[in-house]
Amino acid sequence: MSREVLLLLLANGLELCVGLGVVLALGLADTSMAFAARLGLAYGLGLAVTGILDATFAIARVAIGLPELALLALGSLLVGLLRRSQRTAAVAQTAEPRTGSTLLALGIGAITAGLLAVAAGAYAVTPLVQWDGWAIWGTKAQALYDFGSANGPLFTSPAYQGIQQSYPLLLPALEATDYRAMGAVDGSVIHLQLLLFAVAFAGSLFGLLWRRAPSELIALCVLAILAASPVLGQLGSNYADIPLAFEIALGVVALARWLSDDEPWLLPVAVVFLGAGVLTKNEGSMFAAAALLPLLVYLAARDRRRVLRLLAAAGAVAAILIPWRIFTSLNHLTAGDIRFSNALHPELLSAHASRVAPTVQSLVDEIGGTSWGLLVPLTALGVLAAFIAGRSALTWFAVAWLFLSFAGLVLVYWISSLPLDWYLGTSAYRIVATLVIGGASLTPLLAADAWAESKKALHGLRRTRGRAARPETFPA
Amino acid sequence: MPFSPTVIAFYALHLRPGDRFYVQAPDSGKLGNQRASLMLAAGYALLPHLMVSRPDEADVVLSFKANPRTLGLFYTSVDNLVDGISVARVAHVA
Repeated sequence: MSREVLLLLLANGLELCVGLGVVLALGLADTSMAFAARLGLAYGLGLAVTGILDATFAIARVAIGLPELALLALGSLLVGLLRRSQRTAAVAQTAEPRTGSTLLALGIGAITAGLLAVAAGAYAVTPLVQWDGWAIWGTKAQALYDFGSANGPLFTSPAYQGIQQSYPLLLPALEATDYRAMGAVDGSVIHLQLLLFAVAFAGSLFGLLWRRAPSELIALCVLAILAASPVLGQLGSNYADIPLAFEIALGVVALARWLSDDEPWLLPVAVVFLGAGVLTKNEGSMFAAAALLPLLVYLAARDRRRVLRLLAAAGAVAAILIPWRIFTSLNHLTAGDIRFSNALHPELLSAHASRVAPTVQSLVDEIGGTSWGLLVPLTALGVLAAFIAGRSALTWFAVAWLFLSFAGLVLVYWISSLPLDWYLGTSAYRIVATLVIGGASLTPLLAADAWAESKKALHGLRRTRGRAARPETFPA
Repeated sequence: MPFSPTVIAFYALHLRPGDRFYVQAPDSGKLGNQRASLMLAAGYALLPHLMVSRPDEADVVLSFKANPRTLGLFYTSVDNLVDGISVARVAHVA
């Protein structure tokens, strides 16, 4: 293993410590079993928190490297341990535990780990050659490393408008932190950071749903997601679409669990992941809003005492984005051709109406295509299972998020003036990733009850058959 | 892209620490035209040198299928890779 890889892993180890502090502070690792199950969630949270701080400090002229990461990790662990010592009772789970088969989950987890290990070998030697991967994200990461902050011409001058200056900085800022840890820019090794996003996603989804959905079901869904060819394929291109999809998916799952179980720790976790999502790509805000809005409507109608907490969470997500919005506003950076305010102009919508049908067709083709493997059927089965099991709130939330997200994507193409064929051809295949991965990530939670009921019914059937097959015995 | 890595390497060879450069290339105004593509490639490959949006702000003009003399600047040197691909060092008036 090269020195660069070790230093990159060291940086990520410190990010894991940052997340461990958060997990301890939230009371999610009070037993050794809970600690082990939430280790992946700790890493995902650490990556998200560090990414948010990296991106925000980059515009405040503060560069985060190994020493700063170490301080952050130490501070987070101290706060976490302090909060843990002050807590008098363990965080209780409100819903009925659904544990499932640990052995089966471990077996599926081992297959997933094997897949990621094979990918790591390829990622570590992949050159930075995909267009947006180097032209946009790679240039920003290298510039943040070279200049230490986003307050230079590269991020504000019209000469560099081709690098999409209005796109937020989480991914390049995290990569710049890796470069600082490595002491140099390495366009190949940096791909391992992208793979670590996949590791963080897998661990976080398990940690979020542990004891809430059967372990083997969570493990199966994680494997299905990571084994879908566009996921690791696109992730290795250094585009931000798959990291965005992972963060938004985790935020949406945390919100769905909060809706279902009302456990207080889920809301801050959702804020961190959605916050990371809105700082990864501009459409992150749209996906986050598509999750928060229907939840707000549902709670306003059914459970008003929780509305204020949700509003506070939505405010926190918006607050994470505010420094970046101030930066783009002060430097007159616009999102190129796409302005959501255009959606309020009926004349423009009418003039562009011919773009809607081909957009819908193209997005449906991408989502329904075979390349995403089992993910779309899994999501459909999950929604159906939740509906049959009577989980109406979860069903409503999942359907509303999927529908609003899809509508939001259609709107992006509708209001744009870019040539539609070119625009769809260069982006539709990756812009649907959040929708597909988010839907599949919700599946274990959606299907948990139906899965458990089916297993119970199966056991009952076996017992009945066993009794029926047993020969009657008579006393001699 | 119509330009090879050799072109970028030629540009890089002629830049001194702290130089700011201007990219001069045919610009049709259409998406992905030659100048826009070269600006992206050079912007990335020539970091930490910074690109400027106006020729009079530059220390060096990098030309591709273009003549730096048409920009109305004075130069201390002009080096050609081949005809139409050159690096011109701008003479700044004190």
